[in-house]
Amino acid sequence: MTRPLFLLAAAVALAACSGRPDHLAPEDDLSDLDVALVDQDSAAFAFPSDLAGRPAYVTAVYTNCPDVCPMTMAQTRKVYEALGADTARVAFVTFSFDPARDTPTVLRRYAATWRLGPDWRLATGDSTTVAGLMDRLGIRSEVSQRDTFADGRVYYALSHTDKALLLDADGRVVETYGGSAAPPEMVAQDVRALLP
Amino acid sequence: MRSLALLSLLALTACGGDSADATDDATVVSANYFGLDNAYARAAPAGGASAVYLDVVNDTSSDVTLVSASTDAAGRVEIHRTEAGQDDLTTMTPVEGGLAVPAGETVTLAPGGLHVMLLDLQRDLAEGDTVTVELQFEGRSPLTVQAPVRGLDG
Repeated sequence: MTRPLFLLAAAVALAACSGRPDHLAPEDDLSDLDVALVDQDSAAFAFPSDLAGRPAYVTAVYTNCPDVCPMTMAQTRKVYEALGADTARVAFVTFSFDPARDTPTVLRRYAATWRLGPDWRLATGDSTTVAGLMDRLGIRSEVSQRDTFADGRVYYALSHTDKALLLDADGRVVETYGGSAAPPEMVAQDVRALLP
Repeated sequence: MRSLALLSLLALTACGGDSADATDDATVVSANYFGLDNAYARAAPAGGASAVYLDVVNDTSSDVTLVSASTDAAGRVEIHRTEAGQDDLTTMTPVEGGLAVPAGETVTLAPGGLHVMLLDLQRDLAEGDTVTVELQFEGRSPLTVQAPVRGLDG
């Protein structure tokens, strides 16, 4: 076999063995982060190290969101179901970008309402830590409406980025989707492409 | 001949005038039907927020405006629209001046768009529950709907 042909054959073999589609090339490496959060059970959650070397589907909501965030939760559930038995090999994490209201207690009630399994973690933390993480993930939020209830409690609504991220087992962002409209079968296909 | 005339009179009577069916699954639709169909609410914990979605069916010859809504399940109820705003932010905006439901049309309140927003929930809305919501219209009697609560799979 001539040298150029040999090199071509080697390149084709390497491409076939890598198994990852081109669109899942790493975009951002989050493995340098060490973000201290807590989950809905008030257990410490270190991101991304607690993902334990698994691909992760990451979303973000705030629990006082009546429309888009429940859509995100519903679409994430569909991804979860589309993965079937492979779910056990994937981490599901939903952050709250409203740490002032979304305490672990609130997140636990939210998880119970949506009947989330223990393998789907909701996470929050102190406001500075959460703000820094959201900035790194490219998820923005700002107060869009502020009101006062009859008993004097202040309510606010948030405008926010609608985004989901897929991380590979090395903590690198390889794809992003609209959180509330991510096609579950497409996401599941991408996730499976990251599994060994 | 008399029987035929009587039957014709009955048919004309049945077809005449506006009808406002206050049910969430109207099975009898007249030519002047105005009602609420396909209503449901999202599950949510007490103290949080939820949304009610439905079709406002206006098969009458008059434009109608939905001006407000109320329920004892929430401390505050507003009509909102979700929109993709500037700078990649999704936002909810109150529908100012009421929601127009033109004559002969159906306006759908659905996820990602128009919705009846429930704030300051007074109780858990659990899958399988029912939420009673009253919608108030300009110049028309209010309509009440029993909206079943759906979870993530609904």
